[in-house]
Order: sequence, then structure tokens, then C-alpha cells
Amino acid sequence: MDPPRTGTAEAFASRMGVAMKRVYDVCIIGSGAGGSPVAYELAKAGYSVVVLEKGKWYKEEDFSKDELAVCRREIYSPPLSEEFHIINVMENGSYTRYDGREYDWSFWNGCVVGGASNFMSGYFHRLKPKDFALRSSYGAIAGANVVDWPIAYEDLEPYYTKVEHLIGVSGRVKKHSFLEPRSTPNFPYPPLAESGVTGWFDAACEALGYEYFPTPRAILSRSTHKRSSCYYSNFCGSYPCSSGAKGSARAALLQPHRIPVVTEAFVYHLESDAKRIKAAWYYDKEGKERQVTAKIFVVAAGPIETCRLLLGSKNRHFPQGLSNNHGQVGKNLIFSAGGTGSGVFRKSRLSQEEFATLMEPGLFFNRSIQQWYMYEKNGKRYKGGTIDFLFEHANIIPRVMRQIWDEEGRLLWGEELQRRIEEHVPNERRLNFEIFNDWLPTDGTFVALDTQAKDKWGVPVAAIYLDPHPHDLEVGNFLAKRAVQVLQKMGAEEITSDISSAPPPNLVAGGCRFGKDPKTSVLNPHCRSWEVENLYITDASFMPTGGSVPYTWSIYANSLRVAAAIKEVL
Amino acid sequence: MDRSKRLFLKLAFGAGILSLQQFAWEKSLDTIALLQSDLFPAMPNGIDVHTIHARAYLAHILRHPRVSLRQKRIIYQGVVQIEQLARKRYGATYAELAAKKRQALLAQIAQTPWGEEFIQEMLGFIFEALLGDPIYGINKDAIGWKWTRHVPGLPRPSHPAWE
Repeated sequence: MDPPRTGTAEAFASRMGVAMKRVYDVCIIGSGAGGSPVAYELAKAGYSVVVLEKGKWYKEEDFSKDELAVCRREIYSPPLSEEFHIINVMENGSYTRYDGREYDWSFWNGCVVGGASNFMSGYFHRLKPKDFALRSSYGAIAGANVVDWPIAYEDLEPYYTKVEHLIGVSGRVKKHSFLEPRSTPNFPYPPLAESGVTGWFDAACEALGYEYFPTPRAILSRSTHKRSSCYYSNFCGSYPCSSGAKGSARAALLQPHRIPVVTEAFVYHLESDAKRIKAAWYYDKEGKERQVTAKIFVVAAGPIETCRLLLGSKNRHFPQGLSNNHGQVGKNLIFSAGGTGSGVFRKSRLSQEEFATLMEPGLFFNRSIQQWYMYEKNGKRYKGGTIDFLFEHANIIPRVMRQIWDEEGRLLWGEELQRRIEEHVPNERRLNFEIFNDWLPTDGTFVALDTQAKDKWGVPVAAIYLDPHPHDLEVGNFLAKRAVQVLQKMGAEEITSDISSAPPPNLVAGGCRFGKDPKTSVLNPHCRSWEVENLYITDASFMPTGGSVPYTWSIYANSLRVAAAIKEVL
Repeated sequence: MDRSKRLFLKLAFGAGILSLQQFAWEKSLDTIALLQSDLFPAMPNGIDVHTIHARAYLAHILRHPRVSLRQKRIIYQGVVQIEQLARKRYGATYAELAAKKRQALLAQIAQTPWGEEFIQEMLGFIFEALLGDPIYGINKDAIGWKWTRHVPGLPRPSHPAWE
């Protein structure tokens, strides 16, 4: 066989069947909001970068608003028969074990290039300065492991600003009591087009004396040279974006900048000596074991899977798992606490014009309230949170399914159900609210390896232990009461709220805290492992507390910050 | 024996509910189809479970790898249990009963946790057949979308996500 005249040395070696070992500058495990900014920054700076991603690479033209495929059968997540979690919930003083396969309980958020950022709604809020100093600002809470962050808001602010441009954040800055300090006066992209119903909301808030502001969104309101603007599909959250307007890590970073990604690569082991990772071992799409070597490894597989990978990468130097000689990996897992609520607006209570305004599809609602990000009650200061308002999702199947119960909670079927669907579904629209407050870190909420269950590769699955703090519900209920008042003032009917300690699977953080003390944290302030000198973790695992906002903007910003630190040592 | 039939046997017998002598797969599918039309009867606008291919869709769902064992078990065991109840209460199969008696049985099981769950799951898959994208051979001529005045999101799928 003649040697090829063109192509890379690797390609030639591959064709000749010769294993060739290349040492990359950086190997990144996971291509979501945590991994991609590092890949982007370092590739742009000229370093050799490879990203290992378990999922496939889809492009805009592959996506559709197929409710059955995307939302009912969840085709962008692994089948639970193959990959799953074991969930252990503290109930009456002991953990009850739930097998995710049996209970349809999943913590997957989209295993594709770009990860969960493909499916987010893109509600973008920054953390507030006091989120970085929760312990100092509000004191200790019994039973909760609240600590200050090892960095301040000022350290992250330049990267929040960078995300606004790089990922694309649209909106309009409106002053309010808890508006965080900004280095620029406004967002780089103007607000998305809004529903006329926001006028009803604004009037209600003003009558109540409540401060509101337009919700910033990681969705382009105008095209850039590489991405199209939003086309107001009316089906945004949960669906990958068909125009590239949504600021997913794929659309904003990997795709336009041609970052090399090895897809369908499941990393199951990090091989190390006492100080450094030598190789990342993965199964390729044919199930063959392969390895990548690099000077630096960045793990960003999402908090649960990142902890699982470290805990499973045991050797004689790290008998409890990689970087876990102080027993901190997997500890202090957090979620976003809070819940949801809604109110209904009906044709029968509105003028023809008002009803037309209500039902206009595609336009965003985009309203938030942070007036109670901190509040006082009975002389005590509380850390509160954020209330986002949004129209209910346009998916038709859940909207019809909701009608199977009448107001008395009676299960309906047959003609009675059909009449109810006809009466309600085309003639009403629901306005929802979502509460985000701190899920206090506790000793009882953590990730471990399950001792029995294994996935399709024979690798032990993550066991998630849940023991939320009752304080979370107290704060959530306080905020929900205010949200309900707004809906009442707007004239909504059937107002409900549901604050619970159920963990939202798309808002997970912690498990590999950063901090100033190696005994109580996994990572140093630059998100480098205290114990493994060439390991960085850049997904939401690093967060010791989560703030009272969705995490994605902070993950992006921190990942850019860590990329700058990695550049210093390469 | 196809996969749905094997799964039916595993789940139904595994639960100790059904003996081999009692089992008749095709009849069970017929019972499922009849239950579908009892839960969602034909409407004057032409919508019924036959035009949306709800029976074939459910048979497909019961084989689908992304539908959980829990959901499949609820359907399979529900059919078995409602048959047992029909025999016990009326001495006949569900299909042999007059419409009023079938409705009485549904009202009876709706008062039980398993029956409530069974009806919910059955309705959920009927609504998938009624309101999913017609590319799957369901929701014929988008009749379900027209009925609910639903405007689907664009782009619509150009091909089914599974066979």
C-alpha cells in the first residue's frame, strides 16, 4: 500500500493501522456551557484542543418542533433502559431508593454537542454581589453548609459582560433595587418582541408597587454574521433552536469556530499518577476503548456525571476516586429551589381585542421580579430570589392532558372530556411563574457511585442522594405569595402555586466546590483540582452555593474566567 | 411472537395476574381498541380513535424503547385487571358488555389508584395519536390540531424520528 500524498500524520497512521499517540494541549470532557468556552478560548489562542462529547453533533437543519420526538420520547437524551440514575430520597429519617428506569426519573438534560444549553429557555440573570458572600452576609443556617465563594462578583463581572457579546444576550437594563453593578450600560442586543399582555403585567406591578424588569434572554434579537436572529417559533424552551438564535454552546461557540469535537465518545476513566492525569479513556461509538492524552484535562460533563467520572477513576493514589482524598467529591450537590405557579386568562372575561392580544403566538413574555432577592421578615434577614413570568409552553399534548381533571379533581373521559377540551383549550392561555431561590447545601444531598446498578457499558451509575433543607420551602413560599398577588391583580383565574423540594433536573450544581481550603473543597479559586495539578472542572460543579437565578450565564462566565487562568499556565 | 407480546407475557404473568389459559394477545389488543373508543368516542366532526390510528399507535408505543416499563406495565396490567373485573361483575369479557356496562366499569376503576393511572395513561397515548405530527401516520389531515385550533411549531419534522 502506497502512503497517502496528502492528509495529516494522524490520518496516515490511522490508514496504516498504526496507533499514534498525540498529546493535545487540552482535552475537554463535555461540550456544554462549561466545556465549550474553554475550548473556544484556547483554540482561538492557538492551542491544540480536543473535546470529547458523549452525544451526537446536530445542526440547525436537523432540528424540528416534533413534540412526540423531542418532548415525549426525549430523543436527545439517552434511553433510560441504557443509562440512568439511582435516586435516594430522604423520607422519614432514611433514604428510599428509586431506580430511574422504573420511575421515569431522569437527570439527563440533552446529551448532544452543546449539551443542555441547546434546550434551555435562555432566561439569563447574573448572580448578585452578595451571592458570592452568602455566609458573611446572612450568617450560618443550622443544617446547611453555606460558605462564601473564594472570588467576588468583581472577578466575574468582565466575563458576564463577555458572555453578553459572545453568546448573545438581548434585553434592556432597567434599574431596580437589586440590579447588579455593570461595566456596560446595556445589553448588546435589543429586547425580543414582547406580547401585549406584558402591559397588563406592568400595570399590575405598578399598582402593587412592585419592581419589575424585562428578562434578559440568551436569544439573538438580530442576526450576526454567523447566526440568524430569533424567528419567534413559539416553541423555544425544551426544543433545540432551528435558527441558531438561542445561545447554545454549540451554536455560539463550537459550530461557528469549528472547534474539533469527538462525538459519541463516553469517557469512563481518567488515568493518573499521584499528581497528574495521563489519559482520558473513552468508549467510541462502536464500543471500542480509546484514549486521549493531553497536558491539561478539563472536565465539564455536568455536575452529576462529572462527580461520577471522578469517583469512578480510582487508583492506588486516589482510592476514593480522583481528586477525592479529602472526601469532598460529590458532596454539597445543589439544585435551584423554588417551584412554579400559574393563572388563566379566558376569552369569556376579555374583550375581542384583549383576547387577540392574549393569543398572539410567538411573542415573548419576558418579565422578572427580584424585589425580594433579599427581604426581612419578623426582624430576620432572608436571602430571597427571583420570579420569572412566562407563558405556558405551546406544546399541545400537555395542554389537552390538563383537561382530564375537572375543578373538583374528578377524572374525566368520553364526551364530557371532549366538551371540556373544546371549551378550554382554544379559549384560554395560562401565564406561569417560576421561582428561583437557593437550595441550601446539606450533608444529605450528594452524588456517589451506586453499588449495584451499571449502565450499558458496565460502568456503575451515579447515585443521587436528596435531603433538602426546610428553609428552601419557606423562602419559596414567601416569593410565591408575591407572584400570586401579581396574577390576581392582572385578573387571572384559577391561580395556583406549587413550591416543593423536588429537584429540577435541569438546574443542578455543586459536587466539586471551589474554595480556599483543600480540606473542604475540591477545586482552588481557579477551578483547578487541589490534588491533581492538570485537572480543571468548569461545569456548574464548582458552585458552593447557587444563587437565586438560573445558572447558565454564571457557568459560561466562569468557564471563560478559568480559560484565562489555563492560558497562563500553558 | 413479537416484542409486545413477549413483554405482555412477562409483565402480566410476572405480576401474577394472568394465567396462560386466560391469555389471548389479539383479543387484548381488541380490548385496548375498544377501551380507546370508550374513553374517546367518535365526535360529530369526524374525529374518532380509528381515523387517528390510535390502536396501531398504541401497539407501536408498547414496543417503543423510550416508553418506560412502568407505563407499559400500567397498560398491560390495566387491561388484564379490567377483564377480570368484567368477568367477576358481569360474567363476560369487557368486549361482550354493552356500552353502559363498560362505562360503569370505567367509573368503578376510576375510583381505584390503578384504574385512575390506567385511564390517564390510555388517554395520554390517545392524545399523542390525536395531536402528534401526522408524519407518524396519526392525527390524519391534522384533524386534532384543527379541532383544538393548535398551530404547530416550525419547522415540522421532515421524517419520523423512528420507524
